[in-house]
Amino acid sequence: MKSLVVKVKRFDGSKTWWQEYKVDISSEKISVLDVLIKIKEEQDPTLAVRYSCRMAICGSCGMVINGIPRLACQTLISELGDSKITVEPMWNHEVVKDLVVDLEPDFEKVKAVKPYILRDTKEIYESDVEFGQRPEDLEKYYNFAYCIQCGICMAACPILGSNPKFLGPMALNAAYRWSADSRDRGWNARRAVIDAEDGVWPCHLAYTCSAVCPRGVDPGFSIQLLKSAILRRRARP
Amino acid sequence: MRAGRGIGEWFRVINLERVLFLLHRITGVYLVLYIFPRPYLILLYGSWEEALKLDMTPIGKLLAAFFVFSILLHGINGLRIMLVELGVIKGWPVRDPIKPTPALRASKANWLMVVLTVLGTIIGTAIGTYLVLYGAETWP
Amino acid sequence: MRASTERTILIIGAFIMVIGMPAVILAAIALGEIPLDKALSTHPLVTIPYAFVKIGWGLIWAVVAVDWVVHGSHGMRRVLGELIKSERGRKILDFLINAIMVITGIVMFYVLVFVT
Repeated sequence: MKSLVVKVKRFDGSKTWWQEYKVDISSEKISVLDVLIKIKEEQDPTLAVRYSCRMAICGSCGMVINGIPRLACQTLISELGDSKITVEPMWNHEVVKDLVVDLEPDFEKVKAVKPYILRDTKEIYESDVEFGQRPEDLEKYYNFAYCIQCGICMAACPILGSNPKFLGPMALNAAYRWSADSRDRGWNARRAVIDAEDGVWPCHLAYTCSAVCPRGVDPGFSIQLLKSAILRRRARP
Repeated sequence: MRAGRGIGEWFRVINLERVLFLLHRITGVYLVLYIFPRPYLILLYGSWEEALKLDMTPIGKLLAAFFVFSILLHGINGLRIMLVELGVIKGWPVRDPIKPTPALRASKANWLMVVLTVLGTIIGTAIGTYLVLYGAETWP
Repeated sequence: MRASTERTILIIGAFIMVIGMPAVILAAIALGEIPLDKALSTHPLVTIPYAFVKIGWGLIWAVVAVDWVVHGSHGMRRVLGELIKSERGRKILDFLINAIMVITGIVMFYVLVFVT
């Protein structure tokens, strides 16, 4: 049996404090989320944690574990290599309770960049032609389509710390993914949104977003691709 | 309550590029604060020689040494940032289910620029600091 | 001004300095205007830009220096703009930065060309 000390940053709506829990585990090959659920079941049912799929596909359990934003379901105790674990809510977000943060501002930013195929509806409804896509066209955006919108990149971004109006890596990655899609014709509409003071330009290549992304999406690089497309006046990224 | 440190997020160290980002900001602000008052000082003193005497005091030399460090780091790292933003430094993320690699981490050109930034700054600062401390204080 | 235009000005300004500064220094050394042994044994702030003023290259260095003022102003605008959230605040910041940039640019040009 291994003993863990888990320090969780609590928030009840008015005050914030660190609470320590001692947890005994039989194996280190369990995730931080398993430990938090164990705490909820055996010690403190008031601990608020957001989770769903438990397999790094829904993006619900984003939090800061031992000083790095991660998915709790994907972070194994054996990876951390420490019997003292510190868990706090994602940075740069308004905390609702304990480890649950408000993700609505992130989703509003993603909606602002129109994350869907923009195309003339006449083409779609008055023609029988399929919108095919070659494998090399798919490669241009496929990696960036892995985003599960967990918000971890938004927590990691230093610019969002000082400027909450910045669109952020999650929204900008979405802007690239949809604009680079060969079936899309919405680059001009999206460029108007991202070529703004709080659009793509506040990014200063800290690259923490790509370092912490649990899906290997590399949003930092998609932002640079957007910048390059705007500066070089390209017809599409 | 907003989680995180606000502007203090700039000072959090997580990856190498973030350290370069922070140093780029600090050196940029320092360069502006150091250079912008200089023409006004020269106007105030009426001549270059009088204004340069301030740079020869102990504090002046310390500030000048940091100026050399700042200009080198800001310049070389800035060149790297510009080359990435203009799409000259190319790369692509390496997709791997176990250990995906971001594009700029996989890019040899980016790593070359990072190494140039670090080495260039260290070597240049060493030479510059030597000249600040022991170089001639007037031009013949 | 569009944000990408401002960024383009920043980048062009940076290129002028990153390429222009070493180019002017190397040209002065190569043409013998500034002896290499003197450059490597003199306080850097005496060599640059004071020596350039002394040999009559003040106007050439003034181009780089004014570009420095433009680039630096835009950089400060960027950093301070993140800390100011309101539209009115940003407009005031724009005005102040532009004023400082224009005045400092003119003074910088004047001292490099006309003050010896």
